[in-house]
Amino acid sequence: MRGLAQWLIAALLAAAPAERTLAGESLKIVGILYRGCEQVCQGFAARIEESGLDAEFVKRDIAQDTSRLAAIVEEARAMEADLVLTWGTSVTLGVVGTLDDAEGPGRLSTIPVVFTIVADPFGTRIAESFAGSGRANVTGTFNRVPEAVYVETIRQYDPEFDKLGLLYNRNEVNSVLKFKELQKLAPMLGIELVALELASGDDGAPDLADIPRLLKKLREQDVSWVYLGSSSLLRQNGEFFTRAAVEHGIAVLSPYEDLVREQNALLSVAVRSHDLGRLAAEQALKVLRDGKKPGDLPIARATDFAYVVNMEVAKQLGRFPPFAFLQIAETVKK
Amino acid sequence: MLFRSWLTFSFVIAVVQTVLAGLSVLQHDAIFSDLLRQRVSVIAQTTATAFKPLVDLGMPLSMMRNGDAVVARALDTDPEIEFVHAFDASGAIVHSTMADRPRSVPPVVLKAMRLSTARGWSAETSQRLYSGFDIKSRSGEIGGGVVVGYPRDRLEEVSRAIVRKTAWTALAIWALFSALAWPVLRLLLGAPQRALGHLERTLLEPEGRRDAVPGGGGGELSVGARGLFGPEIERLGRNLDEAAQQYARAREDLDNAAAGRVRDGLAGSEAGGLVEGARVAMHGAADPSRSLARRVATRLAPVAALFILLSALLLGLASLRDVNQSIEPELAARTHLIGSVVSDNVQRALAAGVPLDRLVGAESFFGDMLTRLPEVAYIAVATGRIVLEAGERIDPYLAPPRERKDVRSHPIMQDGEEIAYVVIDIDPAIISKRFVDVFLDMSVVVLVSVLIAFEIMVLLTSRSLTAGLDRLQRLAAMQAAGDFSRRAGIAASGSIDRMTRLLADRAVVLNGHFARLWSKTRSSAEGRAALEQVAGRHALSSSGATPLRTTYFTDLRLALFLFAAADHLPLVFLPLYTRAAEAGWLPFEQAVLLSLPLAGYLLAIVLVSPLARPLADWLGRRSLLVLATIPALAAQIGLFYATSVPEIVGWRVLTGLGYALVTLACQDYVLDTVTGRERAQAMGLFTTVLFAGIFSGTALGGVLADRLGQENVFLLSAALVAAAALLVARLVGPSETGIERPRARMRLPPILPTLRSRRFCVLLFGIAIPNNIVLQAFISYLVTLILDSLGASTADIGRSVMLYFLAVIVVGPVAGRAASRWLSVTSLALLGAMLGGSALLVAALVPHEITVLLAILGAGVGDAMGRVSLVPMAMNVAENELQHLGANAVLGTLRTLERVGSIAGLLVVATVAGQLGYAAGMATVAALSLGGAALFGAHLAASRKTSVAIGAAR
Repeated sequence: MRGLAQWLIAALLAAAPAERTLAGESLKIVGILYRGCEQVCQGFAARIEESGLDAEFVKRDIAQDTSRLAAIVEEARAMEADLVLTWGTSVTLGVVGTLDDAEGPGRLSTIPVVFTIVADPFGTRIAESFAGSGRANVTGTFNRVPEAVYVETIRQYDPEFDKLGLLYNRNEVNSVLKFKELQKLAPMLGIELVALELASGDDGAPDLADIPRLLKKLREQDVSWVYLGSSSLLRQNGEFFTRAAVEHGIAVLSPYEDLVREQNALLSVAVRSHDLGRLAAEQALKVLRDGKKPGDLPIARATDFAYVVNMEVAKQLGRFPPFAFLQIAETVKK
Repeated sequence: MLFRSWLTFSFVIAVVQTVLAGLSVLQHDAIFSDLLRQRVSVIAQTTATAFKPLVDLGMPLSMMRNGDAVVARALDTDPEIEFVHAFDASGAIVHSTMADRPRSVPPVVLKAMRLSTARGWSAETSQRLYSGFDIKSRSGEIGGGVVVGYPRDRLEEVSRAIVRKTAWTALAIWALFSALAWPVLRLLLGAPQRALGHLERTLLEPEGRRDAVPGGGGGELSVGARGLFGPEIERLGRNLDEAAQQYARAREDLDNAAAGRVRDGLAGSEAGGLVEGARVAMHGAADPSRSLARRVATRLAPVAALFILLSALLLGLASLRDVNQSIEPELAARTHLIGSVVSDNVQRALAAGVPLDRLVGAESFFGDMLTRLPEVAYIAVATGRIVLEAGERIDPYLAPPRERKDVRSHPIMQDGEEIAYVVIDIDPAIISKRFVDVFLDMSVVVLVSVLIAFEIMVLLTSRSLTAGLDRLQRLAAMQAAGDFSRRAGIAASGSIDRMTRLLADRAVVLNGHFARLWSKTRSSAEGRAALEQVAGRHALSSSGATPLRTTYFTDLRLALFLFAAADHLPLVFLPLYTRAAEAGWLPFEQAVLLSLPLAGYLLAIVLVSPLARPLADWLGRRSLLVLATIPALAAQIGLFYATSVPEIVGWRVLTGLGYALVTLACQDYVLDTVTGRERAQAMGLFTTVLFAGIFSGTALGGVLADRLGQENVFLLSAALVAAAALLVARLVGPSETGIERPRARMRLPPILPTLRSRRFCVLLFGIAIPNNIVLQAFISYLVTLILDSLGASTADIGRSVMLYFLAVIVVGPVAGRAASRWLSVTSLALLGAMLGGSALLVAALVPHEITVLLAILGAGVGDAMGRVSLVPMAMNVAENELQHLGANAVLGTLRTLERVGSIAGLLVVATVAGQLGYAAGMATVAALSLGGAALFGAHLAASRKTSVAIGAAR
């Protein structure tokens, strides 16, 4: 029965954009963003435009306030959006829920959704596996390498490395998930994880002022590398966080390249955010232009990763990359 | 005679020059291509190293964003590079310097990568050279590879230059030696030729005038008689003279008999006695030590060998110089390359913002690169003082000079200014070793060319000169003794042939005359009795003279040489050829699979050997020889087409069958052509020719496989087998011994009775089987795989394996002399086994190219010592404890059992090598060899103690 219902929904989904195009109307894509239209969002918009698809990209920014999600979901339904792009784990969970509560109120279960910047779509149960999301209307992108790769990258850079620092934010599901994952992995990878929780302020939100204190604490425990993990909060306050880390003599490894290119993280293993946005757009085009069912599409993996080293930070920290590393790394001087 | 001999010399020198020139060019190309591939592999290695961190992280190569830029850097190091691809483990190209990137690397590249046990590998096609390097993670997993495509233009251009140089040099040397040959031959053969001419004139002169020449000689004959072959020519002259008189006498006797007269003094008993005398004379003529043909051959052989050797040495030296000149720029290019790579990489780091004195890990990065180019001993980056360095300095110095030993210095630039430079130290010892290697390679080629040319020379001299002379002598001696039973059908093209024809014509005329008279006197019993007496006296027959059959080993030896060479051409690359084939349905692991073609070959020899003699008796030696080449030929062609291991094993079984039949039939043929006294010598000659073929095949197989491709070597083998078959069919006549032998029956070797003898068992398990295991499991199997895994080319492997056969050939006679003078055969065998075993053990414990070479040499010396002692020891057992079985049966059983033992040993060693690695396989061979020596030694000690005790008791 459930299979039949999914089939019917999928058939409707496939037919809907075609009907709209026939009627001479533009397709509507709603982008639900966490902190404005940054590089991923721009990459998505650019690729859609390049493709020549007659589509309108409507951007809705929740400005890190997940309470705004319900209204935006309603709006998308009302405007009969043809596809919704969700940015980040929090937004995606708010829009489509997990595999276990996909049909709940306020969830989009018929409009096609493409998620991006989700650190762990499988751990959060947004999607089932790389082969497919396990839901008729959802597909997305994957832009991370396994956590072990980040740890090994640090080891290649710094053969002495044996202690990894992590700051996590209990208010963010993905941040907590990443902490737990690393906690499990650390003994297997032969490192000690020193994870500190960001204290909450009076409003219950994490207190940014706590960051330098925690970094100092890490330094006292001989931690020389800190991993950004999967915290939207730290990413959003990247400049503050990475600068503080450098001041405390700690190098930051980031899964996001912009923190190295534009801020003060020492090293990243990442795809270009712009490229990731384009990859999400490819998924959207397969649905809107090619008539593919989102549930049938595999989760698109980002390729074209690169090591990026901020040489200015390396100089400040007195930790230059090893010779072999330099042969493949991209370097920035900022 | 003189002109024909000169033509032969000239032709053979042309052959030696052609063969040597061809082989020199191939050898040069192999060396140059190897150097070039090694250089290009450094580029592949540095590119692959860049990708290694990615693979270490377990990430696919395709995930590297700047992968195209990384591979493109290689183009800066050498603009001749055609392309560089980085590909994943499946062969799909993920980064490339080509604008329209192909989907995957060519199959030849994947195959080379799959088959290589070393990290670097290379392949060659008609268009380009490929050099590649694996990208392996820390855990040893292959994440992909980097392959550099290099056009063949450079190689071809250098090759064309060397072809031109070598061809002109060879032509000049040929002209020189050909011209020199004339006066030398004239000096050697002029007098005998004049003497033979004189003999011919004398022979053809009317009988009345000839009688005027006293003793049938005098005048010009005495010139010959005083010369080199004086006594022999004098004897021939006497025989010819006597033959003429006998002819006249026979005619007279026939006429008298027809007229009813009986010549005075002719009685029945005497007639019989004369014929008997004639037979004796015939054998006397055939006595090789007194034969003019043999004397001429013995005189010509050293001169021929000298000409062949000198002309080959001269071209060899010229080629050595040319090859060294040709590779010098390539050696310089390698040094330049490493300098460029160092300066480029350091510049990249500096451009990224790393200060020169903060380059971390550069030493180990360059150290890895040094291992690929052994002649570069030391790399440093200096600013006036050394900033970083890798390797070991050749000459320690305080201030690094900019230019060292003519090595270009590579500046390191930053912001348009030179801030440092690269210092490279070349190890002169390694460079001279490279040249010594070239010298050794060329020596092998010279040696093989000389062997081939010598075999051709022996055949041609025999065909053009000595065989004719021998025939004339035989006929003359027979007729001198009154035997006119034989004729010889030949075209008269020289004085020797004309004289032979004259003698043959006389026999034909006499026999014809006799036949006519015989039919006329059908009714007269008396007349017939008289005629019978004459016929008995002059060996006449009414059915006419029968052809004189002459059989010589020289007719066969080139064929045997070619066959042995053809059989052993694939020896050094067979395990590699098998490894490249599909496993098929055989459920064995790879190491065992690789040993199966060899095991099948040996098994065929074991099974077919007892059949060889009965087959030869049934079909005739010559027919068996020709027929046995058919399976051998089919097998080589089959191997060319074989794609799976079962096919290769099947064809190798057939090869073994052909080899066993041909060598055994040859051996029997040789024994048939000589009389009892000469048998040992003939067998020695047979073994020498067989070994020369085996040696040449082994030595050339590697370089030919390297240049022509492994499968094409099988076609060459097929051509050589076909040539051998043609030679046998054209030149070899049916053997005739005059001695009736009982027809051989197939008999199984008396295995159980021999095994009851403890001494036989000690000999078998202590010496014979271990020695054979060393040959089959180590030399024919493990060496190839070990050297291949150490990165050696097939040409290198061939040269190394050849050392074994060279040691056997050189040490054998020395060991034989030692056995007869200073050492007992038992001590010699024990020493040999211990030497071979110890050398193998060292190589097993410290596997390195040098220790493996020493092990090969040790095995060769040890085997030579064992070979020399084995037969006398076995004969001793056969003559004492196993007397009732007969020496032949005991020796035959020993051969069969040692082969069976070596098959079992081979399979055990292959299994160990598969499970625990090649070093363990080598250790197993060493253990078997040393274990055998211990068993043999213990038995020796025990038997000495017993004999001392017995002596004391007495």
